[in-house]
Amino acid sequence: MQGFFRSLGDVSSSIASSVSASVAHLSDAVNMDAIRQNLANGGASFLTDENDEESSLLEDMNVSYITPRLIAMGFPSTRSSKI
Amino acid sequence: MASAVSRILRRRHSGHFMVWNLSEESYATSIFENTVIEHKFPGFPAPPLGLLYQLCKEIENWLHADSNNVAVVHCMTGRGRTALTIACALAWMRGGEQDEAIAAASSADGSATHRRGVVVPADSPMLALQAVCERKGSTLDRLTLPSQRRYAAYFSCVLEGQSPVQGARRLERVIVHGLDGLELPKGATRAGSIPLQTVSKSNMPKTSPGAGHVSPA
Repeated sequence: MQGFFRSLGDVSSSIASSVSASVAHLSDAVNMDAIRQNLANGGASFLTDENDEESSLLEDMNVSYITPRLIAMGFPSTRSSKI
Repeated sequence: MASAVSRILRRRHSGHFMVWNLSEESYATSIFENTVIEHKFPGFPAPPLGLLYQLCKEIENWLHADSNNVAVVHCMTGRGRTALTIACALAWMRGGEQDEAIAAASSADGSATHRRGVVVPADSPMLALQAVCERKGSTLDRLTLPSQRRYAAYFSCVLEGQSPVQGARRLERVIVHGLDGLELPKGATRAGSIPLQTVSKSNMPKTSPGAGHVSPA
């Protein structure tokens, strides 16, 4: 019985570590609050870490960091009218 | 402009960015260090469901390959198709990450069961699409077409484990409510317009524009 509980404890700690590891990787999760928080903590700070001039340049070029690792942009034309 | 984007991407993510071009227009990929994947589908709709799945897998694989990797998605405007693809990728990857957690947890007690994307809520891609629109400083209605929003709903069904119906379908009619703002074609003798229709299946047009009988509703 003691062995059973010990192995159960191992399993639960393993689950806990797996879940926490997974949560740590859920920066791209599809939970609105998580996304907003992610954008506030990750995406936004990523941009504000850079200089303002570059951030506004990216905005002008229709480049948006949806998350720190997913970027949306317009057609990267050599003609400025298509950006 | 393109070189400016490239310069910033190279400086921030050198060797770690991949570009997905959904614009139907090719360009010299050398500007992005030849790291461009191109997918074409006609018109301006959502990517076909199979392609949407493929895009999600490609993006997921790329992001999982290295924690520094970033995915850059663009269409022509950076709006509808791009937003939908990123939203579906977000939803898909959440399913995958949960799956990994489930697999890791279940294998720890020796009863490994591999389940794929079972915890994702049905409306996740739509919520993600809404979030992407917010991030772009816009709204769902402004940024996406109705068909693109519909495909977000289809993708929800796929994530729930529902398979698309494969049986034959007969398109009997298309009803358009209101055509305000359309210019009259040259030579028109009475008020009206000439609708064009294109029916595609598996990314291939099945009828030519204008084919078929068109009559007022």
